[in-house]
Amino acid sequence: MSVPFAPETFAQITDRFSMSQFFTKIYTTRSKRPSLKAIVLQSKISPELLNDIIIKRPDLDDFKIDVVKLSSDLYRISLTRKIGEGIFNGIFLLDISNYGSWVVLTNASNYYVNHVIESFYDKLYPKISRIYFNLEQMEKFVNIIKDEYGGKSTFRGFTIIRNKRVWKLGNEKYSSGTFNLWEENAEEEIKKQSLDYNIKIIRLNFSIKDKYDFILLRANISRKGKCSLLYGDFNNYYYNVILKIIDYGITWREFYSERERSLINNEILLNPFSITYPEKINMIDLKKLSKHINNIYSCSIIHNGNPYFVANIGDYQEGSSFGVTVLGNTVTITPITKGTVEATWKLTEVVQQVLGDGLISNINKI
Amino acid sequence: MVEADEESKCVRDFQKYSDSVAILTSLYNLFSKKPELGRYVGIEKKLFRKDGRPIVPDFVVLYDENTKGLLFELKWSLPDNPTWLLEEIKDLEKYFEDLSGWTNDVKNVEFHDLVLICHISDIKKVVKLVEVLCTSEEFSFLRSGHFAIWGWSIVASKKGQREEELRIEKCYGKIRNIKIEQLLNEPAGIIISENVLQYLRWIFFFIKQKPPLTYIIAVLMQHILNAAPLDDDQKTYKINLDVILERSKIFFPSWDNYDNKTKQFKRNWIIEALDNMVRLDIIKKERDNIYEIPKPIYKKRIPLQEALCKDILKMGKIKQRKRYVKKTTRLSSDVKVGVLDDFFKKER
Repeated sequence: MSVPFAPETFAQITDRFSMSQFFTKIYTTRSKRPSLKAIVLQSKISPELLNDIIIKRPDLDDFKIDVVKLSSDLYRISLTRKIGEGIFNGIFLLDISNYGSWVVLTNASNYYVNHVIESFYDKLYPKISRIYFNLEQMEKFVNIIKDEYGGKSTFRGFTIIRNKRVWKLGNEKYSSGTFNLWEENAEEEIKKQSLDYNIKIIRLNFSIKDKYDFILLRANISRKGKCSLLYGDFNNYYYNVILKIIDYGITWREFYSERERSLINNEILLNPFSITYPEKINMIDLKKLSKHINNIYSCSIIHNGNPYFVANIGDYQEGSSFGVTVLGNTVTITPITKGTVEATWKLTEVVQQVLGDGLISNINKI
Repeated sequence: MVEADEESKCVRDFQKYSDSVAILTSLYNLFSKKPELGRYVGIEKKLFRKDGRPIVPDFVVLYDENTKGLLFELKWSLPDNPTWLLEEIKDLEKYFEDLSGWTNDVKNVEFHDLVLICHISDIKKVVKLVEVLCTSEEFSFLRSGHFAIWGWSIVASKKGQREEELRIEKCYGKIRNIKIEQLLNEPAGIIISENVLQYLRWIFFFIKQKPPLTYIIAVLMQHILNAAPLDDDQKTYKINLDVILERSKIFFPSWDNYDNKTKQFKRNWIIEALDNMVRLDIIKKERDNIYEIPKPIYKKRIPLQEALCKDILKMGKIKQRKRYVKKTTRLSSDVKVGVLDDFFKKER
């Protein structure tokens, strides 16, 4: 049995004040250290129930949890997971001061965060759900943060996954795969490439400078709502970044809410929304989409993308159901039964995982 | 080979039914968006014959200031067997009697016509038969002028692009609504709004004609039985038939207007589907009217209807085999029936 990682114990943190002091001290000195990861999750359950859930669910028997309440809305959690022969344990803080949102704070290793913390919370869906960003949403979000900081400029580096959408003479310039784009005009470049590629943002690195060119913040944000602080004052980071992610979550929750198919005064009402792409979705991508959806959902595919795609989809775990169609350059999602925010947002992410990031917009209520 | 054919027919039927529901939406959308063609009166609206017996067409429209009527009958599938097909056609005669009770304020109309809508793949056989039949006096109701057959298909757009569109074309006869006839005389027939293909197709889930078994099971599994929230340690839950029926009502928007006979008819679809789910071992029947539903329900890596078609056909074969075994292995009176333990003792 190996213990490859010595976790931070956060023993000196007893309340929000000491938490803020502790992190500010670390992240305003220039030295090499792991980033402070903040994962924003959505949940209304009490963290004290987590242990009971693990006991009840046999599929979580590789996890062990110890929850300590530090103050009314701050917890210190020790989470251990057995992966193969290795035992991985670490400690993180859980802030529930914003109703409906949980903020996990830790400077544990990326491996521990991805394979223990994130994996644990993903298994608790739909009790705990994620928030997701696509390219357009993330770009807008970073501009909001820049304004909050009153910053003069931002420097951005995009990590994207791109897949060729069409084979055209001249587009063999770039291959498919994961790429970092650090150029000054990266946003323009992405827009240009999105005509020939499915582009999916993975992470956006950014730094904000004041008018004297001093760095105020260096951080990155992932498509699954994980934000990492590399340099910056913790209080500013909390109010200007974390709380803004929570606001973003609330805004999009509103967008995805109350979309269930309903019967009012003998008339059926639908409340669909669409994801639009700059180019038509090709048949190869539609085949990939139907395979991917089939692996995750209960799925009856009525048209398999020739090029019209139609499927009825049921979320096995959560119980919501949807109608999904693809016609031309537009994916349309129509929630049918239940259609909760968590399930609707997740399905939007599942579609974009295959087809790349599109423009999400409302279709007027019918 | 035969098995593969049966399976692909089963999967195709599922698709045809789903798309026929989209055709019902298309009619609804067409008349709601273009009231100048006619006024939408109802889906599965009950009308009355002279002797008071009701008839229920799929879709009812009034036009020319409510003085004329138009009925639509939708068939997602028509039989290949000529005798059964003839029965289906004969059954249309009832729609040509004088009808009353169109709306609360429109009791009678001057005249009404009927349109039969089916998939383009069924058109050839039905038109061929109708063309022969209409020459006889008995089937004069099928003559053009007040009866038409329309075919629908989802095909690649004629604009040369790869997008597909839903088209309704005239395949036989004529009706007396001039505006609709003009629309149908366009080279591509009636091209239905993209919205129907994209999302309006989920306004309705059923047409009047009974769906294939796989279709009802899929609707039950995906939209009704799957929705129950469960505790962490709960792997199954129990549900009463009445609750299932209550939850199913939203998929039949005209439910409140149905008479008891129609309600019972739709209930039977659901009960039959549930019983078959029990036979397929997807759910369990606890006791009368109580079902035990697993969570997740029927998890498969292939599309639901493909898995269901495979399982239903397999079940049919096992049933046939069992029947065969029963007939041939009748125990004679001198065979001793014992328990397996006795047998093994002897073997040792």
